[in-house]
Amino acid sequence: MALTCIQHCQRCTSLLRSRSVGITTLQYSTDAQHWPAALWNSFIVPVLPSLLQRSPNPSQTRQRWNLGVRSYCESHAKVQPSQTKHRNTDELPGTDMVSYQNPVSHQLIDGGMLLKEWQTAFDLDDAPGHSALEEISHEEAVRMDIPAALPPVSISLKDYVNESETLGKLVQLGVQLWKLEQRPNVGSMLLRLDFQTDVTPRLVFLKQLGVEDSRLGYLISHNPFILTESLENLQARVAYLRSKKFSAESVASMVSRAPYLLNFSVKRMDNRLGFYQQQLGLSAQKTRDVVARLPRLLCGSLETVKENLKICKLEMGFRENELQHIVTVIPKVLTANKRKLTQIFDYIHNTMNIPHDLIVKFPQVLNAKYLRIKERHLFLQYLDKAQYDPAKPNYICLDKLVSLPDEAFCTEVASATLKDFELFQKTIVAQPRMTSFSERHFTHNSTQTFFRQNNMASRAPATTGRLLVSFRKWYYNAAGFNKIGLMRDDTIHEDSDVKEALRRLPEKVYNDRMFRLKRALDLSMKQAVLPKEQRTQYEEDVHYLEPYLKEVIRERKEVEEWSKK
Amino acid sequence: MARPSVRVFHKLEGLFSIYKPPGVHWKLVRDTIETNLLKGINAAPPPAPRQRVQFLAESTSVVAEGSNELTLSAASVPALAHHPLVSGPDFQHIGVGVGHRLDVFSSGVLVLGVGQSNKALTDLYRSHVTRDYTLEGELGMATDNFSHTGRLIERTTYDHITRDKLERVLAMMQGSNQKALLTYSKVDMSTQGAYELAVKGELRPDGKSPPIMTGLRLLHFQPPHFTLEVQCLNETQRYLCRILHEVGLELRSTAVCKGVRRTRDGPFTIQHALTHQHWTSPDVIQAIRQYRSSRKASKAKHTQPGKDTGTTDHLC
Repeated sequence: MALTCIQHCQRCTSLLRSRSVGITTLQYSTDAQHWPAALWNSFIVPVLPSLLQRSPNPSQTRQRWNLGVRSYCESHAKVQPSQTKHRNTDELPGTDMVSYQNPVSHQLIDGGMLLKEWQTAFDLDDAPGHSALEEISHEEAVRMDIPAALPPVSISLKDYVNESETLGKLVQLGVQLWKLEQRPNVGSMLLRLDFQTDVTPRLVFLKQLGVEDSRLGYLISHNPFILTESLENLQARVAYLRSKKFSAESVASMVSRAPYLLNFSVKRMDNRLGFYQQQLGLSAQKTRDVVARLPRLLCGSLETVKENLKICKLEMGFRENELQHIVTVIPKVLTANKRKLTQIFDYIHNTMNIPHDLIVKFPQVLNAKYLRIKERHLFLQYLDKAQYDPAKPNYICLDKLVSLPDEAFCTEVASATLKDFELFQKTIVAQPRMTSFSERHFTHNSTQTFFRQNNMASRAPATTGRLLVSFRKWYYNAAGFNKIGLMRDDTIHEDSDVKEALRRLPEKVYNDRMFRLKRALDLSMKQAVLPKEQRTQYEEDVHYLEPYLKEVIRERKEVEEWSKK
Repeated sequence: MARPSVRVFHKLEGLFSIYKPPGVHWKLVRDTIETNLLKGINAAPPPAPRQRVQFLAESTSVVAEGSNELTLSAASVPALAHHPLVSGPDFQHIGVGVGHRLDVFSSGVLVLGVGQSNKALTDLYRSHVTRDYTLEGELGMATDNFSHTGRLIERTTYDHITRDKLERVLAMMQGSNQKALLTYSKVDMSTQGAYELAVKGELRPDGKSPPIMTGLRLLHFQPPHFTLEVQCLNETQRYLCRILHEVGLELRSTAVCKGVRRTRDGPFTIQHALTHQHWTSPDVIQAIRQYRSSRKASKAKHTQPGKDTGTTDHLC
C-alpha cells in the first residue's frame, strides 16, 4: 500500500510541475506488490492529463494532496540513489514492466525517494490545513473526480483502451491491438505514445505518400514501430527511393505491402538494390519492377536469396538468362522455401519429364503447391492425357495445369467431372522418390549436365562431334550385318550373362529378335542380301539388350563381391 | 443468447473422417483442419458494439458563476474493451483430436473429432474397431524399411510365382491369424457362450493383443505388382509393410510395399471421407450430420428384435 501511495504521489506532483493543465488522478486501490510475479508484457499506465477531461478545483485539491504526501513522506522516506533515465526498469524480477518516464526522471526502487527532492517539492511553510479525514461539503464531494480504476500493471490493453485516446483512435483505424499486445514491449510503447504529437504526423506523412486509409490499419498492425521512427529518417528513405526513380505510386504500394520497409536505413536498402541488380544481371528498370512487385526483398535477409539463387543455378541447372526470366515473372522464387522449391522441381523435371525450356516458359509451376501438381498430373496420367510436349498433339499447357481452379481444370483439361477427380484423389498412394535426385552432387559441371541431359535420348553418342559420327556410320555400314537386316545386339556372342539378359527381355522384343535372326539365317543360306531400302540404318539401330545386359553384369559382380566375404 | 461463433462451434462438435494424402505428417493435417475450422467459426459477424455512459462535467464557466449545482451531461460512447480488434477473435484455439494415426508414407481415412466429441473418439478406439487397408506390393525387391522408398537390399526373381501360390500363402497366413484371434479373445472354446459369440462373429480380443488380421484377400495380381486387401485389429502401418515382406519370403522371393491405403476405419468409410478441398467448416458440419444420421439409421436397424450383428459400432 505504501508503495502505491508513494508512486501515486510522486507522479502527481511531478506532473503538476510539468503540466499545469488539469489534475492527474491516479488509482488508489490496487497494490502492485500483490500482482503475480510472472506478468509478461504487462504495462504500467502512464497517466496523461489528456485522459481526464474534468478538473473542478486544481489548487484546493493540490494543497490537500501535498500535505497528505508530506505526512507520508516524513514517515517513510528513505534515501535512495537515483538511477539512469533508462526507460525500462526491472522492478519485479522476471517481469516486463515499464515504469513511467517523467521529466524529473527518478526511479522508484523499494518505495523510496530522494529525500531532498521530496522536501523541495513541497512548501513546508504551508498552513497545515486540511487532512484526509476532514469533512467536506456536499458540493465539493460531487465535484471531486473519482477516476476509473486503471490497474497499474496489466497483461492486456483492454483495460486501458477506454481511457487512452491513442488506443481508441488506433482501434478506429483498424489496428489489431490483440495481436500487438502479444509482442513484448509493444503494448507499453503504444500506451506511451501521444496521439497528437507522435501518431498524427506519421499518419499524415503516410497519407501524403499515397498509402490508402484502409491500409493504414494493416501497416500499423504489422509494424507498430513506424510510429516511433523519426520523421526525418522516414522522409530521407522515401527521398532515396524516389531518387532511384521509383514512381510515387510504386513507393506507396511498396510501403503498404511491406510494412517494415521504411524502418530500414538507406544504406541497407541501397546495399540490397545493388545486390539484386548485380547478381541477377538485370537492367535498372527490370530490377525496379522486380522490387516493386515484391518489396519484401528489400526487407529480409540476403542469405536466403543467395541460397535460392545457388540452388537454381547449381542444382536445377538453369542458365543465367533463364534465371533472369524466371525472376522477372515470379520474383517469389527468390524468397521461396528451399525444400519445397526443390521438391516441386524434382517432381516436374524427373517424374513429369518436363525439360528446362518448358519450365522457363511457364515459371508459375515453381510457385504452385506440390500436392496440387502431383494430384493433377496423376489424374491426367490415369486418363492417358499427360502430354506436356508442345510439339505433339493433345498438348496440355502447364499454365492451365497449375492455375485453373479444380472445376475448370476437370472440365477443360481433363474432360472429366469434379466427382471423378475427387474419387481419384482417394486412390492415390505414395510415389517413389527419384533415386537420381538423391544422388546429386553439388559440383557445378556434373549436376548441370546430369540434369540437363536427363531427358536426352538414351542413344545419344558420348560426344557429338560431326567427324566422329560420320566415322561411326561408315564403320556400321562396313561391318555388314545391317545388310542382312540385323541389329547390333542381335550379333552379340551368347555367353551366360547374355543368356540371362535375353531371358529378361520383354516378349515383343524377343519375338522381333527371333524373327530377325531367322530372316538373316534364311538370307545367308540363299547367299543373298536385303535391298538397300530394307537394310537396318544406323539411326534405326536400337541397343535393346544393353540395359538388361548391364543389369545382369552388375548383379553378377555384386554376387561375386558378397561371396568373397 | 449464445454468440453466433459459439453456435457454429457447437455444430462442429462431432466426429468426421478425412482422406489424408500420402507424404504428409498427420499433425500437419490436424493443424490445417484446426486453422480452417477456426476461420469458419470466427467468420460469424461480431455482435453489436457495446455502449457505455460517460458523464462529462459542464465547462468551467458554470463553476465560476458560483452556482452550487453541478450539471453533468451524459454521453454514450462505445466501449472499446470488447471490440473484436482489442479482445481478439472469439476462438483462438479449438481441440481437434485424431483417432488412429497414419504415418507419413500411408494415405487414407483419418478420423478427427472436435471439442466434446474427443471423448467419443477415445471410446471408439478403446472398443477395438477393425480397419480395412489396401496394400500395393511389388515382387522382386527387398528394402530396409519394407517400402519402396527405403534403401535396396536385395533383388530376386519372381517368375515362379503364380496366382495360385500367392493365394495359398495368403490362406496360410489368414489361418494363423484366425488362431491368434481365438487365443487372444480369452474365451474358453468348449463353452456354449463361445459358440454363440462365434456364430455372431463377435469373437475377438477385448484387451491388449498384438496386431491380428481378421481378413486377407488378393485383389489384383500382375507380376511384379499385386494388391491385397486386409482387415485388421491393433495394427500399425509398418506392421502391414512387414506382412508384405513376409509374403514375399514365403514365396521364396521378396516383396516391398508400394502403398498403404486405409479404406475403412471402424464405421468411417472412404466414401464419405473429405478430400483436402473440402476441409472447411460447412463441409465438416455436413459430414458430421451425415455420420450422425447414418448412425441413427444403423442403430434403428440393430435394435430390431432378435438380430444384433454388433460388428464394429460401439459408439453412441
